[in-house]
Amino acid sequence: MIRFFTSRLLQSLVAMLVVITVTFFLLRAVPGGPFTQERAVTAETERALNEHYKLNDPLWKQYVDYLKNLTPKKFQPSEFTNGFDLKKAFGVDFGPSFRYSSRTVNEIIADKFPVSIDLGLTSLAIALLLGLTLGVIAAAKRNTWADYTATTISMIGISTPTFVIGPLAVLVVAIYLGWVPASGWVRWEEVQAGTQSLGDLIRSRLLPCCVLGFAFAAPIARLARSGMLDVLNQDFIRTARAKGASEWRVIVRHTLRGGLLPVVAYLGPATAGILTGSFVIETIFQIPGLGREFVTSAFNRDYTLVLGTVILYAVLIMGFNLLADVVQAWMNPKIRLES
Amino acid sequence: MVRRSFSRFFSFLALSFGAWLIASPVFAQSKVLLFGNGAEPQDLDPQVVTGVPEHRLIDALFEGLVMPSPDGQGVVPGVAERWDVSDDGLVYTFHLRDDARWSNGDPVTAHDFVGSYKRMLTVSLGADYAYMLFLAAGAEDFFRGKITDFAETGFRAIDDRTLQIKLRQPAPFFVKSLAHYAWFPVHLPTIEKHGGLTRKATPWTRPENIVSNGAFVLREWRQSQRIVVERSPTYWDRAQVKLDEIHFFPIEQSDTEERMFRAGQLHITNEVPLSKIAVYQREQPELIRIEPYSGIYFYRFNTLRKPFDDVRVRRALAISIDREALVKFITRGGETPAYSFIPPDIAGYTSEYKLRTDVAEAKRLLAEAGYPNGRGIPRIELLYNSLEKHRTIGEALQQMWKQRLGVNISLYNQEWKVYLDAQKSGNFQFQRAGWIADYVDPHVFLDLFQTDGGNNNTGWSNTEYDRLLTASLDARSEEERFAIYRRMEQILLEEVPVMPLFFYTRARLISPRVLHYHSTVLDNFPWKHVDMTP
Amino acid sequence: MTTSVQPSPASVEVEQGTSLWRDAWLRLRKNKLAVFGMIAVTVIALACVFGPMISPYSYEEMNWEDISQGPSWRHWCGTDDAGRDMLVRLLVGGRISLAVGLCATFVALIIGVTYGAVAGYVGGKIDAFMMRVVDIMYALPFTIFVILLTVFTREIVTTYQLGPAFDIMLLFAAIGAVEWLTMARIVRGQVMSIKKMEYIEAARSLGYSPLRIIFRHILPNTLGPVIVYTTLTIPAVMLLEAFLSYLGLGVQAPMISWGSLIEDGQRKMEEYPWLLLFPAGIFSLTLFSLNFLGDGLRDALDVRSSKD
Repeated sequence: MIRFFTSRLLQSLVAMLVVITVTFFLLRAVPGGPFTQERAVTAETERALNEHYKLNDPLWKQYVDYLKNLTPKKFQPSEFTNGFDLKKAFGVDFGPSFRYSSRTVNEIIADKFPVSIDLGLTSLAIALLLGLTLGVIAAAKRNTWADYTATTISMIGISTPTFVIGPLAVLVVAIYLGWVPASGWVRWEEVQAGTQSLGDLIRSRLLPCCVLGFAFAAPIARLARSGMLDVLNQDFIRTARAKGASEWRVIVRHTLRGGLLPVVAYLGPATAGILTGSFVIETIFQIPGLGREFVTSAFNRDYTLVLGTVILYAVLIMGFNLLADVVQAWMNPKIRLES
Repeated sequence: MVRRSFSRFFSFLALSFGAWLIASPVFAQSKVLLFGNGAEPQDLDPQVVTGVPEHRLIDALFEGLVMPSPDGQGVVPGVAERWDVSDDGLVYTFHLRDDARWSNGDPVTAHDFVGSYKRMLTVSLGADYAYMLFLAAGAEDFFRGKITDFAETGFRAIDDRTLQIKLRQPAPFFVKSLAHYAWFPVHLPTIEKHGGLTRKATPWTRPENIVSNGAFVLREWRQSQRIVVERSPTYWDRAQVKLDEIHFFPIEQSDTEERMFRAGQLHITNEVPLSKIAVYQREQPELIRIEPYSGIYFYRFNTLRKPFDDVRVRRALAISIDREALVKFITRGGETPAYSFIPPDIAGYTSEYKLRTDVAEAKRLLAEAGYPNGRGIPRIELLYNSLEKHRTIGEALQQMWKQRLGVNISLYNQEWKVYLDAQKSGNFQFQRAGWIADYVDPHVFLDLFQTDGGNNNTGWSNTEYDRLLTASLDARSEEERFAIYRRMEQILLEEVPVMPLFFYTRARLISPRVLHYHSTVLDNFPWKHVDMTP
Repeated sequence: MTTSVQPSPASVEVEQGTSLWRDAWLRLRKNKLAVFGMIAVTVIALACVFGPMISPYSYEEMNWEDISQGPSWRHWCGTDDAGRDMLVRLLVGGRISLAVGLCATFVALIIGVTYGAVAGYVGGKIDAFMMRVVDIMYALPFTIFVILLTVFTREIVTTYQLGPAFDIMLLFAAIGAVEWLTMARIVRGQVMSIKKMEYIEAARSLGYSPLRIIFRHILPNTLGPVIVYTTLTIPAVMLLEAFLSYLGLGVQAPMISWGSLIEDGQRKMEEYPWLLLFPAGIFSLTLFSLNFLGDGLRDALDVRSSKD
């Protein structure tokens, strides 16, 4: 087991280095730089900017410097939990943002990532609850009205993009009904400080979390249904039924573990995606999360911010894919963790 | 229409359900303005930033020698109480008011201004707008390192309350350009303390660090969420400041803004979604305001490439389209069709020479150039940056040229920075473009097309045009200067290196609670005049 | 977990040979929903191909007398805000969306299934390497990749005077290149759980080649999740196309697709609801039909469930 994890960690570090390297050089190959703008600037200004951000150095030197700044230099996790500061905690420095000139990438991540996690975890909970329920019901009551209803609901989720459901939900719930605000985000700190009430906090989250949760619930439901059906058709289930086990017991005891394998495989990357925020949801609901930075930093050619977000995402992808592999092995003893 | 019946149905539901869910009116007593500000600002350092959203924030936080007048056309005294001009129009002496204060209580002095200008003109700061200061004598030389002693430039603090600026040419629009934030003062000791005077990107603009001299001070800056400013207790004219707080929301999507406006979460929006303009005009005209904006939307020819190296082809395209139909049916924001290059209502300037739509003439020019009815013309590709509006305009013009001249044009869109890269490197044939004024004077627009100017990008060059541009800065009277500009505009429109399409407008939704606000032609409004009903 | 279970012996399937597909077809034909799905998809596809040819309207020609008209006898689906007939735009858009949706999904399906199956079956170091490659591909910034691709495409297209078809082919390639990853992970998980089953061991002891075992014995048993994930990929790909067009890769104006029509319609849903309803409707109808077809296919191909 320990061998598996150390081997996996080493593999992931190598993969990480590949991601950083490829991204670093891809970024420089794209036309337009961080200071490309419509209004021409004087040659002196351009040179000064490039000098300040060390863009005049040879590319290999910039790359080596960047890697040096990234290398962890200390280990004080207590600093990390207290404000998400990667620099204070581990000495990892993503550098200054090019676009938001008075901020560092560390600060931007520390400011926005918690918002995305907050939104993501709530949505994920909704997605799992709704998705698994729909999927299991559909599989257990196959080809009945319950199955058709569950399938229809999840197909609606799949065929209606969030950029349609989101605005529609805002129009109906926030504007016509006036139950919740049309957009905005209340942070826990604001509730603790007393400037906003808990009710405000819940209201601000209701729509974005439900819309995002629903978008992820739909594929979960479909995958769960199909995985469960595969298992339900296997002979050992017939045996269990023949022995007189109740239908519910058959499902919970015998089918769930094997039937949810595809869901778990899907959830690895999906969780990493949901935790790093959603561009569409954050734009519609004006949420200060990290999801928007993934897209806009690329448009702004904010080299350091692109790299920072990509590295963060890569860590999560590798982490959650590892977790998914472990869960798959736990769910199905036939799968062994191989190093 | 549809929306009304919908909302009637739902208002019934709303009344009958969940009273606790309905948000409490938090801002009932104090005057808090909720303002949609477009994009997240890059920074709040007046000497570093360049954008329009930043402009509005800086106008709230800082004050220059003069400030824009509420009508948007002229300027009113700011930190400078009054000023004198020497007879030759070269030396300006500004008398600063003695009650002007920084937000930490320090007086605002002439030395602050001189020090700020020195900072702005120091190359290592990397200030994009440094060239705005080149009007002053010696400024450009200092910036380019030709002189190293700042005392040799035209900026001089005669005493704490007297600032003298010597210009290199009379430049009659000088005082107007002072309303631009490039000329605003910054608090040097604060900047020094937080990382050094001439270093970019220090944290001195954070709410806990910043010291400013405007009508408002920064209280909160949450990235991508909101920026809160509140009335300054030290501002000299604080008795005139009406608002207690302004909340600036960085919202890039006009649809999101419009929904927030309807939910009462915004008092003023930055834009109005295109499809909603007509609806508001019809159903709630009191909420929507469309005002002129000093900018032009145009297409740029690359005059170095075929077929646009031939002025007849450029002219044929420029005079064969229906600009009235374009603004009426496609842009639909009350824009003015552009037959000249300088927007109307700019500092009293009026264009004389205008393009005339004449399809027959266009056909004749095209035939003369060797492409009768568009036959044999090289492939033309119009480059635009990815935005729905640009696409629709392109599609409409594409159709007009096809039907009227038989010329086929293909459309190609690129992501913004790729598009800019193509523009700067001349790697395009025909391109959509726009330009917004920095200060209210025709010079801003005509300055673009000087030979090899950084913003020219057409490859076009005309010696007479260049000569007139220089001469305009020496003109002693407004009439003389405007006469020169009319001559330049005529050259530009005869040679058509660019093809004007329409002049921008600004559409906003404004709550009836907001008093005395309107968009000026530069789209910045002096905040201290804005008021709200309780 | 019961271990005494014997899955249906592999030899049975092998002997059935060609009749497996015939049986499946017969079973599929009896499934009403699947037949409905098949007919609906065919009708939509045929309409998209031939409809614009017989329509009196052009998808690109603006008509300022007919701006933003609701559905009527003249314009069955109304007109958009430039006076263009929505029906013909829907059909033309369907050509792009169906082509992208089906082709890119097919590419993703082939790569994903093969990749996942090989990784899962071979296991060990090769599996670890292959899955780390997948992790890397997940993490690379897609927007940057696409912008770069648009630039290269443009260079190539202008240098070699290639037509717009080349752009669209690259679009397929770009989409296919990112959409196979999750498919590979799902298939790998399934293969790993199946490869230890007794009948696979049996096949191996009979000396069958690994490729034969993977494609004849393992993959047919992963069909359920594969088909479902395929039906999930199609809408994702069609919507991704709208985003790519926005970045300048793929279809250029005045060409359109369902994705961009829906995106456009959602901005105007209050004023001109038909601009959203029709594209979203035909999009959903297509996906529902494909889904019914997929479910039917899965049932028809599932040997075990046929015993019920």
